[in-house]
Amino acid sequence: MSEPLAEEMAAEVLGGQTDSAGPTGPVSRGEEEASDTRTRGVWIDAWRVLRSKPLFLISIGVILILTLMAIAPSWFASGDPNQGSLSKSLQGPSSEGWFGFDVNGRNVYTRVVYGARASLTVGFACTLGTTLIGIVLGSVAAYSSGPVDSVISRIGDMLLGIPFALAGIIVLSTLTTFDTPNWQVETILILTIIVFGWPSIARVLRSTVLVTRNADYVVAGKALGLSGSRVLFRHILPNAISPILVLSTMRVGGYIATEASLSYLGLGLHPPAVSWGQMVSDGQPYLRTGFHVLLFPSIFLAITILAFVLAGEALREALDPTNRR
Amino acid sequence: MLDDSPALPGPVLAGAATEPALLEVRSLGVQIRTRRESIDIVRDVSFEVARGETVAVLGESGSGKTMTGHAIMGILDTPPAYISSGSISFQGHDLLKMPERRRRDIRGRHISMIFQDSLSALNPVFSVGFQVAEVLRKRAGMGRREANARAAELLDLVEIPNARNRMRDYPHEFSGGMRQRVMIAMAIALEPELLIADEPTTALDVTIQAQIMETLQRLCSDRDMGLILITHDLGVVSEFADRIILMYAGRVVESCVTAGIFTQAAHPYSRALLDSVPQSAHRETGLNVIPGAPPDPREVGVGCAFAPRCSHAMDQCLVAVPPTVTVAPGHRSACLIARELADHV
Repeated sequence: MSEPLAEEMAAEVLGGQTDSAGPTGPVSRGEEEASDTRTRGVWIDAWRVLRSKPLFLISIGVILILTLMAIAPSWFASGDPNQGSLSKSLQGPSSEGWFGFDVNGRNVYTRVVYGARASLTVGFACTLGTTLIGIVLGSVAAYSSGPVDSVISRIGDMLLGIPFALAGIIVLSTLTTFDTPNWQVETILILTIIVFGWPSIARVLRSTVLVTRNADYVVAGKALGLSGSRVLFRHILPNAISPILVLSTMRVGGYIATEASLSYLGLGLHPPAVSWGQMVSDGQPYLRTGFHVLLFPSIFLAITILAFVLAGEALREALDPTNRR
Repeated sequence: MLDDSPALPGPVLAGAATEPALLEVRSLGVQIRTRRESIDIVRDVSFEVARGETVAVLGESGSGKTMTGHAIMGILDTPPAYISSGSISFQGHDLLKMPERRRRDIRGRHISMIFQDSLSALNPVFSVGFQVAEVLRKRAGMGRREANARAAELLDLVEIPNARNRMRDYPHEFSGGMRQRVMIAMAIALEPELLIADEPTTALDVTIQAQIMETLQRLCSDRDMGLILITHDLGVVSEFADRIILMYAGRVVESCVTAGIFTQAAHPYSRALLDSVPQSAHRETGLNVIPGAPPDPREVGVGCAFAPRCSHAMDQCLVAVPPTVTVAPGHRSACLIARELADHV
């Protein structure tokens, strides 16, 4: 008796967003009626599915650990990532340095941990930026049609023609020098990727919104007198969003890789900042003598990208109700 | 009630002896306008619906019956479809002269609609309980809990078994008949005075059809609700409609009480339709089909659109649209020989 009651009170506090998946055991008639008439939003239902998916939990766990690593690297590794002793140059993995030492005798493990911040910042910020701008401009284009649609779509087409790496090289080599502070380089890099990255999201969203807005349930929503914005946000977008989720999460890896490639080319972050791309770049000349220098940052890069892709795929599946039960 | 809303623009019915009909459609015309041409889809359609009355708008595909329904509802796909003429007045207020905000407020609350394909008319990503409750929350200002309780009652009312426990299920987890019941629950959630059902049972099999129609009829008589039943199914019409509006190529060719079309059909088209209904007597002779096909709306000439397929066609039929004549009280037909047909049973 007390458990459902407590749950109801919690639901009240949470503004009615009830998650009634709690008590599944035998309950009395009155309680059954109280809990069964509840309906939940699409996100809460999705979460119910997600928490029973081991792949999703693992990938979210990995992402959380990496995020923690980015926020507080000193919790994971002691020592300074930029201090090393040349006597340990290119030493392989040992109990002293789990991932070995690079050419300057710096601890690779420490550097990988400290490198998470730059890589994840680029990955998160770019994904957030491109997805938000892509969703807004894509739905505006699809909804307004006519000249607005043409202008947005053509601008997008133009930007899509230039690959990130090329755009990054041009912008960074023009706007930054070796003296530019790292945070400025990173900001410019992120903005460049956002500017050149939103069109692919917008393009996909535009086409799915165009399909969805002619669906019968959108007309039915209109026939029930729901407002235009209600129909757009609650009925069109949730149906149009799943391709975007997959695309965005898959691109997190791409953004991190772009930062890595630019750092590899010497255009991205420079010492004393540490990033995985920079480490791969540093390790490349010692491929034969000190493979571990290249290997470990690459593994972290791959695991991060994989975690985001798996999380996105699980999220997409969970948001599609036909996959439930 | 609409009449209670003081801000509603509308005629002041001072001295009007009779209460205005629930719905009055006068000379409605709907056009599809493309860059090159304007095609008349609905031409000069007039009819009335009273409270508690079931009016069947009968016609084959492309006869303009769905467009008429959408025009009344105000959900025509504009562009390319436009209302080109006429008026639609609801409880004495002209819907076509109303600002869009008022029009939207009337949708769902006073006039509601049921669609043919219930699978595509329900949003696949939300549970049915959520969708029914959404209407109540957004339009009736109910809180989540109250709306959910009311939604469960509504699902119960449309005879969904175990309604409470099915609130959380998604549209694809329901059968076609049950989904159509969910649609009905959503449509009547705000207790409208008029319901437009666009081929509500076409996608269902015959036994389910009858059950759904009985539910609809029960709801209409309980609530004194007018029902416009858009259909091509003479069987459904004969059983459930009070009056029939028969449409052909965008025009009303005959309108009468339901029995009238079976006892004294006054238009060659309705006669041909009745003859084409399969009966056991046809076992040896085969079906009596109407020769030819309904015309392309672009190619309807100045005369009677049915003339090319009509066995009674005369030269005058092609000159002008036959005037609508009253062959009996409440029984009108747009045919030059309407009276002869009506008398000759």
